[in-house]
Amino acid sequence: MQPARTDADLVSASLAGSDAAFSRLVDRHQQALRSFLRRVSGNDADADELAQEVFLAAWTKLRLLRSPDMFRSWLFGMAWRMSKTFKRSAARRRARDEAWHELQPQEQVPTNDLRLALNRALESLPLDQRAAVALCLAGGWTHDEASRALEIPLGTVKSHVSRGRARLEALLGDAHEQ
Amino acid sequence: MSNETLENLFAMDDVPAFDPAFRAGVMRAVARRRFLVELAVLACASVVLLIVLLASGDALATAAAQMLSSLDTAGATLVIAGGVAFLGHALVTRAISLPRRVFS
Repeated sequence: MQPARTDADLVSASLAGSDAAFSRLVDRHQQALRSFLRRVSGNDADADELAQEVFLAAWTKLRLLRSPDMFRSWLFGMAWRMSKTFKRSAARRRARDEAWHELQPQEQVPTNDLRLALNRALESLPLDQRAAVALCLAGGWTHDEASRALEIPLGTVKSHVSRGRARLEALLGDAHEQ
Repeated sequence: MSNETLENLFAMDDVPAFDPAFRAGVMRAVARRRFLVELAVLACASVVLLIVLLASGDALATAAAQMLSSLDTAGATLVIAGGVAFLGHALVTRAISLPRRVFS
């Protein structure tokens, strides 16, 4: 059996011109990246569009990555910075999409109250706190990794996660009781 | 609320682990970007070449005039070299059948 190639191997191969290697990197990180961006932005379509732009930016700037084994942190750091500037155009697009959706026949989509409550609770968190929660509580990242990706001090990440968790618990507890 | 409960809640929102449509979208965008970059490089190279040609126009005209004046010698040399090359090639590939000595 062929051993799994590390991110560093795939980055090197991508730099040598291998599209197959880059698509492996996309496969490997798309789930975590899209989930992170969905939690941060609160809109799935915007998050997926942004995720595609983040991968494209990663491909373009791959030569600037100094430590190929830090690909994941580098990718998420870029995603976090891009997500902060993405909001303006997203708001315009969302207004257009909503107008289009109003013209479509409404279908019943099964929803889960707790899941909706979680999304609402996440949206109520400040952006930095939401990103830290999305990485550490939902993504299973260590505080140190999140600190590097989000470029905020380790202590701040810890307090963001702790406060974010308390707030989520309070809001979800309320939703659970209702 | 336990860590596990929160993790389970978050897991409900996770996107699929393998999404060929998403990957195809990214790789299409990569191919488009590569094409644009190559196009930009070619355009830059063409502009540089044009500037060099314009800048060295006088020098090129002088060189062309000198070459025309020595064309007689160069032309004769070229015709002889071409003829030798053609005959050599024909001989090696036996396109021309030369008389051969027959041993009885």
